[in-house]
Amino acid sequence: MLNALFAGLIDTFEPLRLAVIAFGSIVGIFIGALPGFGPVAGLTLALPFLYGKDPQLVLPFAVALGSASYAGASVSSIMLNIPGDAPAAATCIDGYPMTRKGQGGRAIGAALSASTTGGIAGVLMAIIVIPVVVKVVLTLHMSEIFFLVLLGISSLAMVAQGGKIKGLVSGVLGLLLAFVGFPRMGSIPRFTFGSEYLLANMPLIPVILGLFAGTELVKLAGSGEAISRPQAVTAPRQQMLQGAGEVFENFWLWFRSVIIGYIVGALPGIGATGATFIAYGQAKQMSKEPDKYGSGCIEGVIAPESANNASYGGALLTTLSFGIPGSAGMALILALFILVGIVPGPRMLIDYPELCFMMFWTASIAAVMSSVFCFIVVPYLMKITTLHPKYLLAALTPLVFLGAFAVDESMGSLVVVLVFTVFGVLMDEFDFSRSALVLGFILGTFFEKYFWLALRLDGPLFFLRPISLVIVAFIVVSLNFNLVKSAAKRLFLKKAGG
Amino acid sequence: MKKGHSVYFDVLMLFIMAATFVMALDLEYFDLKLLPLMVSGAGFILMAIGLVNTVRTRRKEAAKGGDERPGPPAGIYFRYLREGLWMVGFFAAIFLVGFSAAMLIFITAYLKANRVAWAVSIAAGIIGTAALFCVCYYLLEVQLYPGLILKQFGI
Repeated sequence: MLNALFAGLIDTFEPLRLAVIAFGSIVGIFIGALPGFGPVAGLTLALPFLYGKDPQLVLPFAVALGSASYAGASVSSIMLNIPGDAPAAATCIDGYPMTRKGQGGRAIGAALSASTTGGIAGVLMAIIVIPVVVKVVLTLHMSEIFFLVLLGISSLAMVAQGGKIKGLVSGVLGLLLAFVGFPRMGSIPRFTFGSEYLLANMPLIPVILGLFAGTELVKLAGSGEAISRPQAVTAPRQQMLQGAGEVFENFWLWFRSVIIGYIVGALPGIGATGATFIAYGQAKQMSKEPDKYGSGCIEGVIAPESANNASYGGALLTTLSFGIPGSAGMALILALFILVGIVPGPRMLIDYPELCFMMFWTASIAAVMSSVFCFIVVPYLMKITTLHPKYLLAALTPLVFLGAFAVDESMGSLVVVLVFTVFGVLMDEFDFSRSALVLGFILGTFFEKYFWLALRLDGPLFFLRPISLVIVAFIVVSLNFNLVKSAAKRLFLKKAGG
Repeated sequence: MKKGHSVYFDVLMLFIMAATFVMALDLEYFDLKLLPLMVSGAGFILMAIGLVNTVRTRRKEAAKGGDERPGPPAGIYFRYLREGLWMVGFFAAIFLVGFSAAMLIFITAYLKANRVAWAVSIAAGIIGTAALFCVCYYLLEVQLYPGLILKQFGI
């Protein structure tokens, strides 16, 4: 394991890989700063170009893009009060008031510094925990892996915006899509409606492109106006340096937020959004002056930003060690594994240890690079948010269709993009979770494979194995969390009363 | 902004689950049908509960005198439809005249339709098509679809 750790580190510092990480970081910053489109849709657009390429280059690029998007998102949150993605919304609370007070540079400096150090700390914590996680993974049977897959799907569904039922239905729909075509362990196709195109299973890239990139483009262009209007906002470099230093003055706040970010990020389904708001909440609760939060205080920026990037290390650990992606972005990383020919799942850390460690090192290097780049390109970041969506749609629609076509050079892929764009818009409008659908779709083949393996190896009562029962209990409790909470409250009140 | 409780979309999802369940019943072998039956059956039950929830929420809102949260902006669905139709048009153009010509036509026509000057629209069309062409040949290494019309002429 130690060999793999250092081999991964040496691999990461190869010049070509560093160049790829730098490129991924720059793309990530701009995508992160572009509100409305988001890192998930951005990574989706990159998928066709990464398909079948060298995993040693493709995976660092994707990880760098994901990690750097946090930095870009925090800049637009602070300067324009427009969060580039959901986790950055917590930074708006105090970041934007600081900009209005003329302290935008200080807030950005603190955000970048907290984000970078938080990202590195999150990755280091993940690396420390890996030997324990590997031991746990090695004890898992097929039945437990099957229930882990189920946990992965339900975890994203239970935090879906439209509620658990809609989230679960979306996940179920994704599973059903995975059943189209030839099954993993069989030779008779299903649900193909006589189409030759569908014999080779529902294609992953066109489905994701339609659901994320196509849908976001239609919504963005449909909104009919630029994301933000040109504003005279500036971020003096001197102020940025001052803000960066203030993170170290608030060391304990940073430390608590990093721990929260890492733990919450590692929990499937909650992810960075939960981490940033929980970190912000604890900072306010533990502060001697809680009233100053919300009016533009530096602590209100440091707490969510430290937690935000620290959660990436935690989420990456859960994704790589158990094959459970905690967010749509991590689900895409999992999809990328499939596209470059690596089978994702609980054995990834054991079968590809060097690659996994390289991804962790990449996340921390990307955190540093993205902060340095952000420091340089802050003025240009502001400009891209004033771009009218019509230019985005004109440029990106052909790219979406080209990306889908490139997968198998079939016009069928373009039809799939169109169908899933329509379906994606409808799902979004009526609050069904597109992320849960994609996760169900990605994990669907493993769901079926591990179900039959568990049935054959552990017998029909495979769900009665102790660890399986624990995972099932965890799924049931988390799906009925409110019910459990109110029952526990009643019990507590009864005891207190009696 | 208020977001959707659509009975129609819920019914559509319920129909998809029911149809999948019926299709799975028709599959010949037990190994093939077991999981689709279980998953679509579970999906049907969940969606039925979801539909009941949607109807109950609507009734409650109606009893209170309507939902007070602001609805979606006026004409938003029409604008989504318009942007969606542009995509469908682009697909039709690819099918007929091939990728290269379709890209040029789409970028130019879309920008022009959105009140961009002719010169800028045409320049963006040419530059965009050339850039995407390079992406295709050098990054993706794919043979672009020539279109039905060129195929008819055997080109």
